[in-house]
Amino acid sequence: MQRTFTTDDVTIRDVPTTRVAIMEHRGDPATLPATIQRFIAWRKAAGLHPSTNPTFNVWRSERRPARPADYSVDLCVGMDRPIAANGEGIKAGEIPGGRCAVLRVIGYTDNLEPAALYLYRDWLPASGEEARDFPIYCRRLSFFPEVPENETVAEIFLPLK
Amino acid sequence: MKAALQNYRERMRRVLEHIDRHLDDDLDLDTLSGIAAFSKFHFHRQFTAIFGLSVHRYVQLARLKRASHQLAYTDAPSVTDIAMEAGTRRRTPLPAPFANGSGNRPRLSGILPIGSRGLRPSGLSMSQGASSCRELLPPTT
Repeated sequence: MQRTFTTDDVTIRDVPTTRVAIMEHRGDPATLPATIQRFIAWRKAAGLHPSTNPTFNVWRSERRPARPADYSVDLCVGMDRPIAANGEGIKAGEIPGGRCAVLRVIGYTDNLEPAALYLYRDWLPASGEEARDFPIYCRRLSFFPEVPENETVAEIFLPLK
Repeated sequence: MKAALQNYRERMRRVLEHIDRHLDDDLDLDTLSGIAAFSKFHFHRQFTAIFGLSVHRYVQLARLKRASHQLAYTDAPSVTDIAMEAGTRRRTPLPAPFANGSGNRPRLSGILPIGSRGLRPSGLSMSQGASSCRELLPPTT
């Protein structure tokens, strides 16, 4: 379902730096579901429930790069204690703080590309703002099938200078 | 707000002009985002958002448009040379975009300029691809 957005849907927010544990997905998007399964399994084992630890996706590449092997996304869990070394390929990192244009999306949040493209096509060029050198990312606030798909909520963050 | 928009479009116009002038060079995202002075993390979506196709596809279409005109209007050395140029740095002798839809058999008719060699374009013609992007950017006044 294609929704339409307006500038009223976008707010500027100054976000603090967030320490995160990262499971990197590098390679063909077709294998992303397998990475997500590993991410969820690790998260459960580590006791990092979405209700206590926020979930972020950092999109480092195009959604469909010319070479599928170039696809790159970081699956992140916000946490305030250092992560222990482990065998699942989890890395420590951070989402840098700073100004962001934030667009809240309600319902059908599995593909956030149309919402991201609204920010890049309509909002950013007219705003006079300049994107910061950190990728666009989202915070997932609820998950299907825990809530009905039309009630899932995500916020997209476009980092600004 | 209008000045911001004009400045933004001007930076994108620089990218299109750079592509036109450097079809034989490496036109990867790092290079082109640098031309527009946009962060490489954002440039590809900024481009797609404005023009409706990926940077990679745009470059591919611009190279194929040149190839189609070389085939139609010039004493080109050979079809293979033109095809190799259009698909620079590909190992296959005829690049994938020459294949029109299903099957592996290359079909050049779809990318030749309208009316040339008595062939009619089929599928996505060059004029619907690369050139129309420039029309999305109104001329600077």
